[in-house]
Order: sequence, then structure tokens, then C-alpha cells
Amino acid sequence: MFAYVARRIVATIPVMAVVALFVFSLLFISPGDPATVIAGDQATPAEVERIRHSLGLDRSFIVQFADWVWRLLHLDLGTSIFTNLPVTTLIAQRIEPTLSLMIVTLIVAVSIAVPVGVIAAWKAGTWVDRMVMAFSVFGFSVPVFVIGYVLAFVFALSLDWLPVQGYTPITQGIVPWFKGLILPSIALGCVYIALIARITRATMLEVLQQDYIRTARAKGVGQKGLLFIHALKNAAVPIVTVIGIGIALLIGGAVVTESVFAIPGLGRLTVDAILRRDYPVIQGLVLLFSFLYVIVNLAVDLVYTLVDPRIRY
Amino acid sequence: MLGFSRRVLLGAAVLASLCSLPAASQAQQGTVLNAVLEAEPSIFDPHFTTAYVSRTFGYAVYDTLFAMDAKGAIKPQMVETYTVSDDKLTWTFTLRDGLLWHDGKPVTAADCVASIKRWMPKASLGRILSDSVASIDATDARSFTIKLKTPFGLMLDVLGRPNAPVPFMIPARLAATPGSERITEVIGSGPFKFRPDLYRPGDQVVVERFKDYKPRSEPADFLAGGKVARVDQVVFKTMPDAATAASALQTGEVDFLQFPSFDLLPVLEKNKQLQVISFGGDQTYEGYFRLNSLAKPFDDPEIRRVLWRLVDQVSVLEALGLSDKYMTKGCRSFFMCGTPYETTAGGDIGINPSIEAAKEALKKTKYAGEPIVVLQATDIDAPRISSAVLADLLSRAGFKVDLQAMDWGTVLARRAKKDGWHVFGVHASGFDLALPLTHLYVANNCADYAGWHCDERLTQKLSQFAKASDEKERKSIADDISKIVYEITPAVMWGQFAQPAAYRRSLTNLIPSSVPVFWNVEKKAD
Repeated sequence: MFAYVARRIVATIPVMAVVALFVFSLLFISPGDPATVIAGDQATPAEVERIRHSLGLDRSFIVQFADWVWRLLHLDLGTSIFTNLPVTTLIAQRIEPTLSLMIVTLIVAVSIAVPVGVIAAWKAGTWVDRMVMAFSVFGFSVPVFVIGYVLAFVFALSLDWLPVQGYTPITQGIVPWFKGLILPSIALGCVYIALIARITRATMLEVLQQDYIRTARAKGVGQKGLLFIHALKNAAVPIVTVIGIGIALLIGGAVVTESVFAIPGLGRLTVDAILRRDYPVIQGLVLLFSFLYVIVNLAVDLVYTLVDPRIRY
Repeated sequence: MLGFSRRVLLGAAVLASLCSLPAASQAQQGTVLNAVLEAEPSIFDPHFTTAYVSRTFGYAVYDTLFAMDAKGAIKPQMVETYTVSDDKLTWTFTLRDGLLWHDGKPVTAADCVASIKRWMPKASLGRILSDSVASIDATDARSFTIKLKTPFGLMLDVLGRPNAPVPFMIPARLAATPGSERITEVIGSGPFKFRPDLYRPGDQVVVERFKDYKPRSEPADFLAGGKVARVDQVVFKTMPDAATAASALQTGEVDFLQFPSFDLLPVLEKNKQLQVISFGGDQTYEGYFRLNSLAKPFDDPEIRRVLWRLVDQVSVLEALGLSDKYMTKGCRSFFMCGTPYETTAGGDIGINPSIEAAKEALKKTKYAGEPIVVLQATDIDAPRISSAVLADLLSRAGFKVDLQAMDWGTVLARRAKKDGWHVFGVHASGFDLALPLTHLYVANNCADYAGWHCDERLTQKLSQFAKASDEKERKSIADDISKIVYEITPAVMWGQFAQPAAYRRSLTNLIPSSVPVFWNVEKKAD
């Protein structure tokens, strides 16, 4: 197992190298550069050129890429062109809100979606099942920002129960931290709940038809034990897969959610960096996200071994 | 599966690691005013950029030698007295006593000299001044002189107008930073000082009252007068979503919103806890369609002039969702209406525009059906909507149109090239547009500036304007300039409008200003 994990981690290196080259090249050829954005609308081309030169943006592709790779090998992601802060500092400042949002969303979504999916499969064909499927369609169809606006309007603006925006670090109190995450995580979690509930239902329906379930029922196992111990455990592999894939959904959804709720996380950092052409930040973030995704895939593969003892590497 | 106790330990470990991250915003104390500006202030070097949000930050943290009052007059600010020699070639300025930098050191004349020299090449007004300057020198700790080659009647305007980049004063050691690089510390002498320890990019910029600031004795008057900070901290919060910002204002999570979205203004106006303020004259904005005078067919001024017959200055404003009270309808002055140099000289061509009139005018030109490329910046409302409206108007008038959508950064890159585009929609502040010398589409005559209009008559008139001895002469020259620009059509106005601000009524004595300033304002409990 250890060897497997080590092999998978080593295998991320060529993946990261390809991602790094791809991202760098894409940014290099895309129109616009940070010098024009920094200089402002009224700046003369001479001023823009001066800024471009001071940022080293007038150097050739090879020189800029080699410089960046050299820094990368020293674990230096460079300095933000806009803020003059190290990219690692910006990421460190912004990672807590995004991780908090993703973890809370994941917990809320899985806690709701899995039992709902199980119940929908148990009550297949009834109004309960139809309600779950209807919600699933709703969750897929309605954009995250629409759900976010509606939640903010009802629970923040009208009822004044929760804050409209912002993020409170956990060090300033767990209650304010959590209160600030409730609406964003529900908004972000809707599509995730829809996805997991649907897959759980489909997988459970298949498992509930199996002989061993009939045997368990004949042996007198109660409904709860049948569903959540015998059936769910056997249906867990595809569900875990979808949860892992869904983390990519969460990263993308976090961009929109963070903008709507003014959460200063990595998603907003990405959008701001792209609009400003803050190359070092964009490159650092893409590498980070690709690394995170590789780790998530590895974690999903390892969780398989926990839910299904037959799977071994 | 993990045992229960192991799960608890793992959860505790994650929680502990999260708790070990540094806390943000814990050092806010006293009265805190939360403000959402047009964008996130991110460039704090006051001379480095023309971005308006950097100017707003600058007025909080830095100070100026002179400043504009509500009537547009330029008054001394850091300067106590000034004299002009009889031949008008030597200006002598003496600073007020007791001015301090935020690091506690005294403000000296040498600091001001270094600041002016750093700022001059970066600003259009500074470059104009520079052409007349022979030398700038400190004569003692509090006095400096500017010696001129030729008289320059706009000295105080240059040093006091709020055109970005504003001539803010910084310590000489920071002013020694080359103009192509940003200063490494934010040290000003303004009523607030920057808190770098509370700065969270993308989240907040915090400034706090500078206890040793010495305000003038006069009452505050727009950007002039006594700047007394009556709140302890101002937090510039970053909220990219307009609806969220408006909601936060309504719930009291923020106190001031610089640019509420136009379509949300009616909601905010109905809220009894809020106040919406509007502005006039050079505190409004003017939208323009900037034309590329080098790209065929717009290299033909007759074809460019067709747009005067087409653009009605109401369509775009209505498309933006503005109500009538925020529009200045039918303003045909290139230097805006309600401003010192308002003039419609040469502007008869713009009377009663219509599609039919434009069609007729286009038929008389040599237009051969070339596609007109309209650059549309989709991430900013005014350029996005104005470009879309123009594309529709052009198409209905008989032009072949190619509307290309992209973000503002890409527009900046595309328009830097002399070909590949014909027009883009944009808007700018009245402070820049109300004065011929700073009007982007007048003053950049024969310059390497996107659009590349060039007319020697304009060059001469602008020079005369800069050297004019009094206001009457300047107004006469402004009329001449107006006639020329209507003739050569470097750009076409699509509407003058106010961008109202909104704030909670718990704020009192807020200075009404399109450049948000936070001295003088008090915050009471809601």
C-alpha cells in the first residue's frame, strides 16, 4: 500500500510539469498583460512599456519560462504583480475560507444526500422518490448564484438571521465562522446534493435487488440495518467516486459562491488574477488546484480499500 | 473504518490546525466605517497609476499642496502661503508648520520637491507643467520654489486638481523610487494612515485615524479645508458582486457604497435607513465612443462625423437603467455640462440625431461597406452596454458591424494596436473631461494614444490654453477647441450621467463627493 501511494505521488510530477507548461504557454499567448491593467486607462504606451519592462514581461518566452521553472524548483511561486506579495502568502491567506467552505459544503451535502438517496431507493416509485428526483433536477438546473441570491434575500436581508456576506476566521469564534458559511454552503451544496442523491439512489436500487439483501431480510434484519449497513456499504464505491469527482464541482462552484457572498477565498483570487492578468498568481493557483485534484483522486482510491475489503493495491 | 476515538482525534487535529492560522481583522477598534468602493484598492503608490480607486485611497492616506473646494476653486492645503514673482516666473511655497509623516518624521520642502519631480512625468498636467519648468528646489526646511521658463497660469490647478494621478506628497526617500517601480511603503501625511498588518488582498484595506494629523482651521469643503477624521478606522471592503454589496448596505454590514448598481438604486432610495446622493458638473461622468482615426473607414473624418447624427445620448443611459434624475440629457458640450468650460461651439451637427439622419449622412460619404469592429468590454457595465447599443445603432444606420466581446484587460491590449478595431465604449470622470488639457480624447492629440487623432490646429490651441493668462481667455480657446474636435471627431459622447453613492443614515456630515472622502464624517449607532 505504501509503495502504491508513493508511486502515485511520484506520478504527479510529470502531470504537474505538463500542467505548468500548458498554463504558462496559454497565458503567454492570451491577449493583454498586467502592465496595461496596472497603468490604467489614461496611461500612455510609453508608461505601459516602462511598467512592462520593470515586470520583466518584455523578455522572451523561453527566458520567462525558465525563470519561473527555476523558482518553482526552489518552491518559490513568485510575487503577485498587483499586490507585490509572494504568491504563497496570498494562497495562505485565502486557503482557509475556501477549505472551510468546501469542507462544510461536503459535510452538509453528504449528510443530506446519502440518506435522502437511500430513502428514495427504499421508497422507489412513491411520492417520496418523486420529490427527491424533483429536487435533484432543481439542484442541477438552478445556477449557484441564483440560489445564493435567493438565500441571501430571505435569510439575511428579510429575516436578518444570517450575514449577507463575508467570512469570519475560525479563530474569531466557531459560531460566527459557521454562521457565515451556512448560506454559501447551502447554495454551493445544492448541485452536489442533487448529484450524490441521484447516484446513491441508482446504486442502492441495484444493490437492493441482490440475493444477499433478500437473505438478510429473510434472516430478520431490520429495515434500518438492511439499508444503511448491508446495502449502503455495498453501494459505497460509486458513491465515493462521485463524491471525489464532485470536489472538482466544488472548486468551480466556489468561484461563483465566493463572489456572491464576498468570501475572500481561492476562487475569487483566481478570478481577480485572471481579470488582472496577474500571471504568477494564476500559474501558482492552477498548479495548486491540479495538485489538489491529484491528491483527491488518490484519496478516493484509498477510501475504496476501506469500504470494499476486496480492493487492494 | 477508523474507530470513533481516532475520528475524534483526527477532527480535533484539523480544527487545531485551522485555529493556528493568523486571525484577520482582530485589531479593529473604536468607530469603524465600512465602505465598498468601485474596486479593490490594490496599487498604493499614488503616482504609479491613473486608476480612480487608487486616487480614492490616496486622498485618505496622502495629502496635497493644494486642493479643490466645492466651487472648483483651488485652495492651499499643505501650503501655508505662496507668492508669485512680478514676472510670474518664480513661485515660492511655504508649508504649514507641524506637518508630519505617518512614521513621525516632519514633512519638509525637500520631500515635496522630490514628490513633484516624481509625479510630473506620470501625469498629463504634470507633463504640461514640466514643459514650462526651469527648476524646482527647496530653499529651506519648509519652503521651495518652482522657477519657470515661461509664465504658467495653471500652476495651482496643476497642483490642486484631483486628476489621476494626483500630485500627492510622499517622503523624499520613497520619492527616490524610479517612476517605473512602486514604492515599497505606504507613508503619507494624510488624515488616515495605512495599516499594512490588517491588509488582506481581495478582502479589505484598513486605514486608521492619524492622531498627529494637523488639519487646517477652516471647515471641510470638498477636498479642501480642514480634514478632521472623526471615525477611528475606515475599512475598504472588497465586494465584487453589486447585489451583495447593496444587500450588505441594507443590513448594515457596510456603511457606504460608492457605486450601487443602477438597477438597484430604486430599492435603495426606498429604504428609509439609507441616503442616496447624486452629483453634478465635473463630479459626473461622461461616456464616449472612442474612434480609431487610423483604421479604414474611420480614417475618413466625414464617416466619423456620421456618428454625431446617430448617437442620441439617451439610448445608452436608458439601457444602463438610469432614471432621468441621474442623466444630463442632450449635453452637446465636449467638456461636459455644468462645468467651467461648457460649450457647444461646433456642436450643431449633434442636434436631433436619428437613424434616418445618420442613414442620409452615411449615403453622402465614401463608405463602402467595411465592417466596423466594436470592442465590447463585458466585465464593466458602462462599456458593455454602451458598445452593445452602438453596435445596434450602427447596424440600423447602414454600417456593417462586428461586435467583439472580451474583458477590459483584452480591450486595453487590442486598442493598443493601430488596426483590428474601430471603436469602443468607455466612460471617464468629469474631473478629467471638463478640462481640455486633461480630456483624454482632446489632449492626447498627435500622441501615441489609442485612437491616434491628430490635428495641428488642436496642438496650437492646447498650447494657447495652457499659456492663457485668465479664465476669459481660456473659455474663448475652449470654444475654438470644441469646434475643431467636432470637426475631426476623435470621439463621440454617449451621455453625461451621475453615479450616485449610497450610505446609511447613521453616517452624518459625509462630504458629498464623487471621489469618496472619509474625513469629517461621523458614525452614530443605527
